[in-house]
Amino acid sequence: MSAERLEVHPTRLELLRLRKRKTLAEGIADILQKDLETLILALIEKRKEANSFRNKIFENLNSAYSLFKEAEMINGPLKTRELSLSRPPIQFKVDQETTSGVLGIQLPHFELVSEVEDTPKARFNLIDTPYQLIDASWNVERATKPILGLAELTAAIREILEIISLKRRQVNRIRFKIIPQIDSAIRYVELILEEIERQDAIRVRVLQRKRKERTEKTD
Amino acid sequence: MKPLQYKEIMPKVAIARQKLIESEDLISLIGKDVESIRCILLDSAYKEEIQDLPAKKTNAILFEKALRKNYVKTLEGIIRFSSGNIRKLMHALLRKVELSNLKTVLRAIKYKIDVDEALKNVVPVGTFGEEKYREIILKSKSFEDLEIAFSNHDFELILRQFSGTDLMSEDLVSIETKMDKAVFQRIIDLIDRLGDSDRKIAQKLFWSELDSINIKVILKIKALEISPKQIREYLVPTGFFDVEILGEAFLGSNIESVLKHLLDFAEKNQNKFYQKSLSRILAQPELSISSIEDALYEMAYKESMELLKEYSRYYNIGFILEYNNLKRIEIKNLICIILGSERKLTPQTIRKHLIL
Repeated sequence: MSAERLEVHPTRLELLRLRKRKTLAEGIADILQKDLETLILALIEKRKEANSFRNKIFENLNSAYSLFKEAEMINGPLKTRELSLSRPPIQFKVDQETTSGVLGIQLPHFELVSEVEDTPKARFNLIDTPYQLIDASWNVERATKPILGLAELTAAIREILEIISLKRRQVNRIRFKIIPQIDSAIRYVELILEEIERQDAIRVRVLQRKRKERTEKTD
Repeated sequence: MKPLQYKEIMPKVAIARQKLIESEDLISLIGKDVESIRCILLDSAYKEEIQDLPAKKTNAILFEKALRKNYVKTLEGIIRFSSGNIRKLMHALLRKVELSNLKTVLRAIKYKIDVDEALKNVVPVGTFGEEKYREIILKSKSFEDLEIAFSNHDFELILRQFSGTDLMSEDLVSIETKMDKAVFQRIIDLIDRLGDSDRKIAQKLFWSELDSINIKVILKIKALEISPKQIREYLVPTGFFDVEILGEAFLGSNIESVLKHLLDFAEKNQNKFYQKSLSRILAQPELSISSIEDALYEMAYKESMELLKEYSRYYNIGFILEYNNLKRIEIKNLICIILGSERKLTPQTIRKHLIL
């Protein structure tokens, strides 16, 4: 792949400067690569956590649905539907903050703020409602925390993925654009300098030969 | 000698009892698809209601409503042929169905449930048809409006106690519980007016229902970690186990100790029925509130069967009340089978929830 060459003065000083730039670029690329690896490890970790949350949610909702089915069998589908439709919804708030995560990246943090009543009250009529429906509603309530945890992890994973792609672009830019450009500039400067050196050597040889001829003539 | 008030009602109930579906026939319905069940039920006491269901579009919800309509029709039939205090008592039992309609109305108004959706839960009783309930749901906004809508109805008095209460802000659970209590209390009052032997039978039967409700309630209160001070608020009028006993039982550390306390009380008072029922529940390998609920429901049903063995079969209220219980349980079982068939549940799961 031919890289676009930088506009540089073909001087020895410039060559030194270019070599320094190349070492620096390689150093930065290494650091970025290490960051990338750390981020990928963090991503794998988060994915594992997300899986465990997903399993918890599945467990809670699965058990809620089977309990709901049982409640329907005991109380009839009509009554169960009516009881479910006519209950106050579960009230909760979610506080959103950011916390410093891997490599100091600001990751979202969701905190569930439950509005706990001073004295617990029944949400369903205790005479009409089969216990399975109460239990099903609890299971759905229990799923809120893992759902929030999963939401937090999903947001964190998205953030990490964005940073990974940014870092990858940076590494690629350094490895496949900046370093080849510097390399090509170095080669160019080296070529010019070699050319100048060769010309100087010829010039010196010509001068030496002329000096030699002049001394021979005067002798 | 035949007591006069049973002259007409007994043959009517005896015939209706013959039309109840046998346990074996019920079991044979398990595993059949909804359409087959519909066809089979066309040859039963539910024929009229089932005929009105749209063929091939029938679902468990429509079935449930049809079966409940049939229950109301059956009770209304018994009322038509009964007289005196028996008629009043049967009316009071029908009020339980009407209370369910009133609760639907309250829920629809408070939670702004679509009127058509709410009407699916309404089972027309007497002059209160679906259109009347539609009008009530659409026009009523407060308890005062409901009081006007239910003027000259038994519920007028019940609704009057909520005058000034804001329906939209008040907790519906406590309102519904107060209404349940009022309806149960009315039944108790009417039972007290019955003749000696009828009163004894009806009390025993109804007490077992009240006791089973109260035991379920305290177990649920315990699970919900509601303060013991609030127990009275949720209990319906008591039967054999009074509020004090239920309160003491509630303090037990777990479900088992709650039931053991009640069993001790039954043993102390030599109540064989509760001794037997509670011992059977306690002998279950896994005690959970739902399994106890099922067992308690069955307990109330068994009590009516036991009573019939104890007292003479005909010419007492027991026969009518037993039929009422059997009909309720038959409908509950049918709903369970139809729903299980619609949801494609295994026969074992369906069978688990049947009361046979």
